[in-house]
Amino acid sequence: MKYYISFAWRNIWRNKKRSILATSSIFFAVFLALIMRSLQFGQYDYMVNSTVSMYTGYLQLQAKGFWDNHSFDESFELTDTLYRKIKNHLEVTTLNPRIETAALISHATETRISPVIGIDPYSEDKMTGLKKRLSKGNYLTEESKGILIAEGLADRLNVDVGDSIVIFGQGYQGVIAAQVFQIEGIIKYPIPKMNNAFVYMTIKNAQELFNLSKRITSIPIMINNPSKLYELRNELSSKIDTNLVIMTWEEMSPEIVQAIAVDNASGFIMLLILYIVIGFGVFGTIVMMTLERTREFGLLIAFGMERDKIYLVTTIESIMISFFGALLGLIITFPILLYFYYHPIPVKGELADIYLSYGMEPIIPFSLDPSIFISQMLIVFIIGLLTSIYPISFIRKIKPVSALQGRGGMK
Amino acid sequence: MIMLTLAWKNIWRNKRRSIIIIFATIIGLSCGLFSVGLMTGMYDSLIDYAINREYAHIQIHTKDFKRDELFNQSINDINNIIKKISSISNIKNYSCHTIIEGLASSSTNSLGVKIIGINPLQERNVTGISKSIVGGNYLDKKNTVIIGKKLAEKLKLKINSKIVLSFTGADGNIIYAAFRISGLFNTEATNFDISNVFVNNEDISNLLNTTSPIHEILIKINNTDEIDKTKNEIQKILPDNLLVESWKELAPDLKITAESTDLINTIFLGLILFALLFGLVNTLLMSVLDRIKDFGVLLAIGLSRSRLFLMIILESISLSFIGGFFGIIIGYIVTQYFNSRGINLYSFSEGLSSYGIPSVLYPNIRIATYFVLTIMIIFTSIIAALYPALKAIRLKPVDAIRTIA
Repeated sequence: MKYYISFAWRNIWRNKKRSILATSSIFFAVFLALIMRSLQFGQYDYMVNSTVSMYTGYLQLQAKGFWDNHSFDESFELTDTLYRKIKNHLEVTTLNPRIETAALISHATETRISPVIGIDPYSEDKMTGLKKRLSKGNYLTEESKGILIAEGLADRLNVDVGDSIVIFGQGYQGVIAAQVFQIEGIIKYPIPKMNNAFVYMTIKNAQELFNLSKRITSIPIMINNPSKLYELRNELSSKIDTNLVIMTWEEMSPEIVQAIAVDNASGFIMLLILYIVIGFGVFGTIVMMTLERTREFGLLIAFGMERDKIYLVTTIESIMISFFGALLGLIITFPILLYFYYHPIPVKGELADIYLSYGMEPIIPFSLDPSIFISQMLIVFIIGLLTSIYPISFIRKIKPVSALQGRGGMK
Repeated sequence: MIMLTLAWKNIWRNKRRSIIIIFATIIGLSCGLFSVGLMTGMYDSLIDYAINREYAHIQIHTKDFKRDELFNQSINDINNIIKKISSISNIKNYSCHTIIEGLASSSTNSLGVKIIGINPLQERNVTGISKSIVGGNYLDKKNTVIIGKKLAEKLKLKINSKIVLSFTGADGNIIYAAFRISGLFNTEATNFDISNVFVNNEDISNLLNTTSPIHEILIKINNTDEIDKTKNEIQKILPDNLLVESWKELAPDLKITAESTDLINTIFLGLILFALLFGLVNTLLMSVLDRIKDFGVLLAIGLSRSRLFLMIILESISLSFIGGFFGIIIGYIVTQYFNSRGINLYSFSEGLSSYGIPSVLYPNIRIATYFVLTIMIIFTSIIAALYPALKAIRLKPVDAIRTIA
């Protein structure tokens, strides 16, 4: 085998410029593909991560029907046994019980509608990092009687820490809920849509306000390993009552799943076109390498070299030409991606506002997902294999005498 | 001319080699053009639909309303302002909106919505809402409302169901009013559908016991090329507390999309051509190396080096031209075919509609793209030929003739 490899190696370098051109075309494709895929995958991870940690959790425990209706009719009681059953699973990191609803928030003559969220201050912070978004006042504690309010909403109502607001909404079983709360702290979100909404209070206060006694509406669940999402869902589902249901983030945010699918497909098609074009270039090189050696192949066969062994050499040549480019692309691109993985590119100016309006922070993240690298290597390997078909079929049909006489080897 | 004939004959000396690179060009360019067509079609419709759905061409608000969106921050002396605007010739239609943040409730659920009070006749000529009705009727009777189909699903309501809208009036009192759903609309943007309901302005006036305040004027213009000029004209004749904005300012993301689509497409085509460049250089280099002896003879019998250089450049141009010609023709035919039929992406509709993209795409290539692409092809082929051509003209005739090919 060693001989064949060194044969192939020497054959490639018989025409340096040609081989370097073919190799660099593969290098260019791999370089571009790696950067593009890393950007795309980085964006997807980021989108998923922010939705999951800001809103839904990877999994969410709810009463059946809550997701569609978002009404208190589908609230449920969180018992200690239920809590422990889920919390004790090794893959589960955080359970974040919530009460989610919307209500009118009034101060003086101003009224706004806002989501009102009853939270456990500790677990909410652990999941969403709410505490570090506090811009004024104090974060909630278990005993707090007050509320946290988003900055934009506070501005619109013209209120500040220490002021009182009225929350007015619909409680459990249609009861009218209305109560005065003092503002304990102001939360600042970078995303305008979020900054203009959101009122937080402790679960206890929310249960009182909305007449829920011990009931809650949902428990977002954070997990260690997102790739085990469905496995874990099934395991946990078997442990809970039949009136409850566990949803995955993919079910709760289908638009993100589909947006990713569309973008992923368009990126894939772009790269496919690129690889086809590059593949033809490499194929052309291999065809030339084969044709100009007609005489040589004839000679080898005439000497009694088995065709299988010639096939082997030419196949190694084809794969080598493609693979060097890929390897070079990998070696050069990886440090670049590694750098940007740890230092995402910040987006500035007008474009930054657009990122914010879409609910994303203005950065361009990169991904180092191994599948990005593996798939490029695989594609290049396939190009190598496909281009090796030509020399094999050529040598298979070659007639030594005709080849040696310089008549093309076929007649 | 004779050089062109020579070049043409030369590229067919090694048919296999030339056909491979021509084939690569055809595939690369036709697929590339089709992708460009898809992108252009997608982004153009994204913008058209957004303008037609919610932005119109130009909008007027008070500066205060832009900041706080409060009920009291309405446009004063509306009749006078309308009169002033109507005097501008480029203005086609306008529609006045009352905008109130409120709660839409059914017996099972309530959701925060933007209640938009319209004059149904005015609105018909400015936005596409009247045409997006998928069930029931446009606002036809007293105290009726049209809501998004997706909102109706969330609230578990049907056509003719009762819906309660609650909001605060000027004095801070909360007003509850029952409306009957006369129709459901369904646009390509999910967010718009679940967060807006339309009612008749007169109904709001009755509830408020006074003429409903106007917070927003939407304007459609005749000649969209003059949008910035018209916008400035309007701003000039209006009082300082009013802000006139075009859709580009109202939706900067759409503006960037509009401005960057062509650039991204050009870069994409450029990358394909760059990939082709490698193959082209290789092909030309091989063909030059094969013919060293010929070149030696040509130079020896007195062909000038500049003509030799020209010949190789022409070979490269002819090679790319054949590929480019068929590539463009095929790309054009495929794009036109799908443009007349539309490409149904229904299975991705949720993801697309969260970005306001309709689920049937009509790929479309701008005429300018063909020109730009043609120029890019010629440019690429000249670049590709430089190195091989230089190599050829640097030959010394005597050495070249002695080369064993």
